[in-house]
Amino acid sequence: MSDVTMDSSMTARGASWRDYYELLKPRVMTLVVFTAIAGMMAAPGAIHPAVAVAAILCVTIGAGAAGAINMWFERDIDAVMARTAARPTVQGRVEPAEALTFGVFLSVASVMTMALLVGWVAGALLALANLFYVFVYTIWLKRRTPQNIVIGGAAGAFPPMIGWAAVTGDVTVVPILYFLLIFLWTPPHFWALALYRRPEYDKAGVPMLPVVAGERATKLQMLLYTVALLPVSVAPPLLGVGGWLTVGGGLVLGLLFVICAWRVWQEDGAATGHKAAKLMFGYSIFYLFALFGLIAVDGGATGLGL
Amino acid sequence: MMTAMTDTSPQPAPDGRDEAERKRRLRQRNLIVLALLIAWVALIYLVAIVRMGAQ
Repeated sequence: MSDVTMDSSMTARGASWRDYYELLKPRVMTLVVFTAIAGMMAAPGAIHPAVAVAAILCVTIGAGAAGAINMWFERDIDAVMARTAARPTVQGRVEPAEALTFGVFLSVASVMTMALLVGWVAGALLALANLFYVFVYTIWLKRRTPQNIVIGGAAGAFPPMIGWAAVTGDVTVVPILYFLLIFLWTPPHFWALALYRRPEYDKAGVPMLPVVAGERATKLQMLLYTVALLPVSVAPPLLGVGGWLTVGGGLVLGLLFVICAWRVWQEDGAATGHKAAKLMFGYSIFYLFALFGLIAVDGGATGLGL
Repeated sequence: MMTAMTDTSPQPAPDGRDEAERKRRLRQRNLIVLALLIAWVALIYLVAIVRMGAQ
């Protein structure tokens, strides 16, 4: 790992609670929590509100803990990239060992609490998600292969499955479809970002697809993934979870995602400043929130017999 | 190549303002940890009661 410059006055003052909060990657956590709640709402059966709160807290803290371990491991490449250069581990506000201890402690605590209070299946899935994110994505794949976020994306796909398992205590085809939704959504989401942040990834030595295979190949892959998402987004209602709202909404949202990818495919990024890629990145976040919002509402309504 | 973890060079002594700020942050962190621990215990207690009630 390369040098990490520290401001001695920052370390002398010590880390504030906000630095630890930042270690948890709150923005990523929002999406994780939202999809977990959607999975919970769509699942058949009832869950006591106190158990539901415990499950949501465990997913939140577990996801944040994995983020903290990720920041500990990636502080050298984070320092090179403008997007991540202000992170507390890069700025020296939190010592690397502190970040690691914080992440490991919270990860173990969240998994144990989930297993004891909510259920062993949900606890095991949370443990698997954390282990996958840290060992498979962060440590193994990210710096080695352009397929890093394709395979590593599985880690972020677990939350709706965990939410479902918190209610039912098992995993069926529908939560696997929710998993597949996020799994297929992740590559076009990250590659849209990587298209306009390509020089930074290149400088940091992270083999993102646009760096290794070029823009054209990346844009084609993005288009293919958005098309593949379409049938998966409308499949859960066909299996009895959700209804016309998920089908209609999923199709509209999915088609807009395909249009975004088509515009990126046609765009000359160098001339436009990757305007379409930036738009697609923003839309991809909206897409996931909206789709899982529909799944939650529609699945919840189905569960209530509406 | 030197990483932050292996850097053992002497750091400049913190001045009075840094020391006061360090103490303030430490106290704030400790209070937050205390609040979180109490919340965690309360959550375990609450869920245990709910689960016992369901049986």
